[in-house]
Amino acid sequence: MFLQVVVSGIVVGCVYGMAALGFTIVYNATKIINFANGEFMMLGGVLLAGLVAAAKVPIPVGILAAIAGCALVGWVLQRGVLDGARNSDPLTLVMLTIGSALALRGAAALAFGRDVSFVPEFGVLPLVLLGNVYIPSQGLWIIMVLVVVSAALWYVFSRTMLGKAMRAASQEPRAAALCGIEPRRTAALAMIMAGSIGGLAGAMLAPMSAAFYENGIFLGLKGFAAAVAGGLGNPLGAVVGGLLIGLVESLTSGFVASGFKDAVSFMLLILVLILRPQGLVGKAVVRRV
Amino acid sequence: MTLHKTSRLRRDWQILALVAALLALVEFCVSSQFHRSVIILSMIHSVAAVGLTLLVGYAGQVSLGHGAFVGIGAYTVAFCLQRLGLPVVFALAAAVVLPGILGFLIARPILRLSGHNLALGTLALGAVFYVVAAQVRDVTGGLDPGIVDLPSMAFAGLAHERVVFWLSIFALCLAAAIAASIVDGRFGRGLMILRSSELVAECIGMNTARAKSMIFAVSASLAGLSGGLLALYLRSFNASAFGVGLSIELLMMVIVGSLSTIWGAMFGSFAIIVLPNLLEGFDQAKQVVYGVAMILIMLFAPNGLGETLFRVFTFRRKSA
Amino acid sequence: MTLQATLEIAGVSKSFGGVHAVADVSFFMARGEVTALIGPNGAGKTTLINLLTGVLPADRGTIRLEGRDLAGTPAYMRARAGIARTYQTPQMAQGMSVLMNVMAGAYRFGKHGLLGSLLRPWLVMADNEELAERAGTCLARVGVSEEWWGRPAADLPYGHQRRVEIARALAQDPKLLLLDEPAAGLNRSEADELASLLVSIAADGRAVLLVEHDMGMVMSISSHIVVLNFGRKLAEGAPETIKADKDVIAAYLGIVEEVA
Repeated sequence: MFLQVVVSGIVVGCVYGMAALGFTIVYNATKIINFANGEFMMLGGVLLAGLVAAAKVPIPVGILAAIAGCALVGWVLQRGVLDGARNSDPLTLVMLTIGSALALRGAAALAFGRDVSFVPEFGVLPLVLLGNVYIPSQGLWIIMVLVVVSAALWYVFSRTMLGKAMRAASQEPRAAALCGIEPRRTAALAMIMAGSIGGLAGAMLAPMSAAFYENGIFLGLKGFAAAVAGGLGNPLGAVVGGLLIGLVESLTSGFVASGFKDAVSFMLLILVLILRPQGLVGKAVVRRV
Repeated sequence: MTLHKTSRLRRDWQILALVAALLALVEFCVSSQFHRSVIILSMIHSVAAVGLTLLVGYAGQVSLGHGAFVGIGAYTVAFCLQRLGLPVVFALAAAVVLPGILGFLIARPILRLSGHNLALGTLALGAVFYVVAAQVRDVTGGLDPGIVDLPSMAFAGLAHERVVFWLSIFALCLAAAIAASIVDGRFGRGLMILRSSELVAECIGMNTARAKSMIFAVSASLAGLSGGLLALYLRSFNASAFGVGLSIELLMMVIVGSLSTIWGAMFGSFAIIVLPNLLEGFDQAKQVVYGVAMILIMLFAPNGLGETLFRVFTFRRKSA
Repeated sequence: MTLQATLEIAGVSKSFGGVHAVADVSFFMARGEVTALIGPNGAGKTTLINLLTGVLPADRGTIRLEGRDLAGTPAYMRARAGIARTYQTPQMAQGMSVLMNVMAGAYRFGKHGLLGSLLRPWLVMADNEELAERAGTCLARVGVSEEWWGRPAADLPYGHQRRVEIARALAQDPKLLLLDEPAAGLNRSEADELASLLVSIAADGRAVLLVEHDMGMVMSISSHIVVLNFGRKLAEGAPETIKADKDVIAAYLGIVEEVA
């Protein structure tokens, strides 16, 4: 029982980790807390559900379309909304991303309806049984995707010029600009990456929990909780934080009461913000920098 | 000395009297049940928005969780009426006092945050309240059925809606009077200094930690009063009324109105509540329109739509 | 001198992660006098102001205001006890007029609190009249004429913002006034006006601490000069003594000549 709860915590945690990753990338590039990040995940799920269930598109194509759609939305959000307010105070930026979140939510409701929709499991991968603990096929997919996404991001940020340029632009915007790195471009890239990751994560989650146009708020908050728990701005911490939040939730719903699982992770977010703003993990990274 | 208005309080009272008279007139004239309900809801939300203006606009502390205090106020009234059998006046008083105390206690830790961390923290706080309210069914009735069948306010021959209308006028005037007194006094000036710099506020002798807690408590009290009235008016409601959406709407009312005067909050509440109800078929596209409007306002009128319109208007008049 | 000391600093130290910003500094300040605190950039002058106002806690040492130990007294209580300050860059509150900024400075003289203003709002009006009166007097004294009073303070020219800031500090009716580079960005005639203003403020019977790079002003109006270098007190004494001090000249070589 306990191990089973841990496994499902890890699976959900992987999704939160992806949410936190997108959030972290945007924060690192622009120092903006993107309150619309959860909407990428909502959109990913709803898009996939719409395409697969209604338009009978094959699942792989649907996933790619969901990723592309969310990437596009991310690009529009950065170029159309946030670029216009780069020097605004935090309240303005917060309200801009919240406004964008509302608009996206409303647009999803208009386009795909206000009903909960379902996506079939991706299949292919087997259901794994280890002793009396079983890992669902979709769970395996999610774990694999997180590993692939993390590895890809690690490669991009540490091995490619593009990634190095984005890191430079976040740490020393002025110096980076002098080297020909355009902050507007890196900001748009970051938002496109966040959109893609969010869309992918949302698509992966859709078969496990239904796609619904109001999912974004809570998914977003979970992503914040994960990113903050891992130390804001630290990608590795974001993944670890995601797993942590997933585990805490899973344990709460397994051993306390399932209704309170959301409250527990939000309380965790508040406590970490107040008591350990540097994050629960990621201390070493903060010191090194 | 006469050149410079040392106190806007007198003018604020004049505006308040005007608003009260106008609302009373509306009460006598409006016959449509629908219009009446829209105006009542606007007034009720105004009460919370006025309080939030003090916190966000004057003290510069953003809250994305004030929907929780509205909810606490609503459940307090329900609990007092249904379980304790208290008279309405006491129930409303409790709906002011309890959120105020809770707000004061929560403020100290939560207002150690600032900027976007404060936005995140208060958003999470509001979400926690929603989840808890949906779960603690013993008190709240959860999402289904929630609170049902609070007593009608019909009194001395006046129908329920009319009594609530008068109660709302009274509450709104009370909220505005309180806010005006705070804003125009030394505490309000201290808050405005605080908004620009906590350091300066400390160094002129303001206990900033306490001041922030107090203004948070005041805004929580007014949110509670708003929730209490909402409960009285609706008579049946559930936790979904007090989710993150309400908190965002309240903040929007403040921003749509003005961050720097309490009158903006009234404008904002009426705009947010009335407009969707006037536009036919608006409900379908409500969130999109809200979202886009919010983006446009933040991009082009970050001081508040009401204030920007007012400025444009007065500027035109002066230059003409 | 010890008898009439308004401020008494003994062995005050503050370090940030191993860097000694202020190390074992001691001196007295007397009422009615301008005391200058000078030293090269990074010598710890602003840190010392922050220690005096209580914005930062001192690691060691005692600070006494009129004999009262201020240890553990938070910044706002020190302000109420009579310590006022200005800032290196003027800190005008956004969205407030000049007069309101200065009225805010008189915070500790307001008679109504939050509850009072709720229960008896008419007190607010009477109180505002009184505070405006006080603020007006202070503004007139620093030479900001009435035509400026209604304007948004943050829109004022730099020199005026500096004056308004001094007026705001004066509205606190301080026993001890701490000025962080008040002449920075002022032209010669403005600086001269400032110098005579500071002399007259000290003549009220206040202790004035002047942190300043304008050596002409420092030498002409201070009765006592404390020199800091790398957080330590390098020298202390009357202007003539300081001018002749070898260590000071060494630390300041070039800078003194450049300014004076």
